[in-house]
Amino acid sequence: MNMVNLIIILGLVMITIGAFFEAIGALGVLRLKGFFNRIHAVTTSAIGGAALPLLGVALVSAFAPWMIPQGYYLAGICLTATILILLLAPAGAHALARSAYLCKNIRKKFIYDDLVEHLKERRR
Amino acid sequence: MKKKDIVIAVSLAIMVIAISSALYAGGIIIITPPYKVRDLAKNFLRYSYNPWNGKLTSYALNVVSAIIWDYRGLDTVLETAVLYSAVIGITVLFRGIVEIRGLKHRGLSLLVKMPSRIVIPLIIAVGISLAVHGHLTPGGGFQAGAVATVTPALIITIFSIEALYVLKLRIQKLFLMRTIAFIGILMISISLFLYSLMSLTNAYVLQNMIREHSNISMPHWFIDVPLAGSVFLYNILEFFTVFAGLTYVFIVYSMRRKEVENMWEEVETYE
Repeated sequence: MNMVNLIIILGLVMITIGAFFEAIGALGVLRLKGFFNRIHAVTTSAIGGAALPLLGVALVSAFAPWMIPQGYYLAGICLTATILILLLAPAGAHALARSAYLCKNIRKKFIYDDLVEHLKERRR
Repeated sequence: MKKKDIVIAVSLAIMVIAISSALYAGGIIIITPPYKVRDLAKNFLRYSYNPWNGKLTSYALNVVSAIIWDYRGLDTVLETAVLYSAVIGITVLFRGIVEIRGLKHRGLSLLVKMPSRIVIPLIIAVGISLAVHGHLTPGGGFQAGAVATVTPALIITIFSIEALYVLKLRIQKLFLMRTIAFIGILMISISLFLYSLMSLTNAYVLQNMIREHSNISMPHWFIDVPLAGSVFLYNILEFFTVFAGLTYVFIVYSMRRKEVENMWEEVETYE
């Protein structure tokens, strides 16, 4: 077993872990209660289920001997998409969570809310 | 509630199975069209890139661009005119708005601003590359303009409209840019005809390459890349038209209250 086979197996393992994260995210969206619990599940599956398998695909396509010329293009595209997802998924989730927090109806159900004091201080 | 859940689950499962079976049908049963290219498709391919016969080609590797800007070019010019006049309608509706700088603005939080600062130049680059490569790869002028218009929309939602004023994207400037680009499209469409009038040869309106009875053509080769003559120029000008028009609409629709207040006074003077 040489190095190339190990790297390909690593990539396939990453793709499988991504599928696992995707299933967990879907289950979380279905079963968890409330907006913030759900958005936690969604962001988990966005990083674990989209960025990780894309890295796996990049590894497989860059090192697999049966797709030598086209594989490099695919690997580059996958790496770019991974970087963009890592940049933008947290930003989008943050914007959603922030606007949901600023909507007062959702905040009523909280047991403990530390940010309220901060908001009040900022308003003064 | 239980029944509804079951119905949703079953219908989603049916949709997933249908889509996946349609995707894999080519390998299992033959419901996809045969691999043989039909005669109509062959004709389209031949007329869009066929350097061996100069009279029946447009030197555009992207067949859709060749169709849109070469053989049905008049239709596309009229489509651009429709967009142009739609924006004129919006201008008439919003008569009397003033851009006021220095109103209170905040935008979203820093965590959203920093990644979008990195991504916004990338979006503009994608838009320009779609326009410049419109005759070689999938894309084209309208799509490129629509992609580039995402950036003003993002800037308005994330940084507030004040950031656009800082970037000097004023309404009058956009309007001028749009008009100049549209006039450019019209001028290019009749340029070969005007040239033929001066040089006493024959040419058609919206002509691109050499045709049966005329020997003049747009430049069709740039060093070693096929440059589809007027298709390339049309794509770039269409990019500017669409970008300026849609950005204008976005700016006008997201004006603040103080900027729009003047509109009603203007209306009252007319009534």
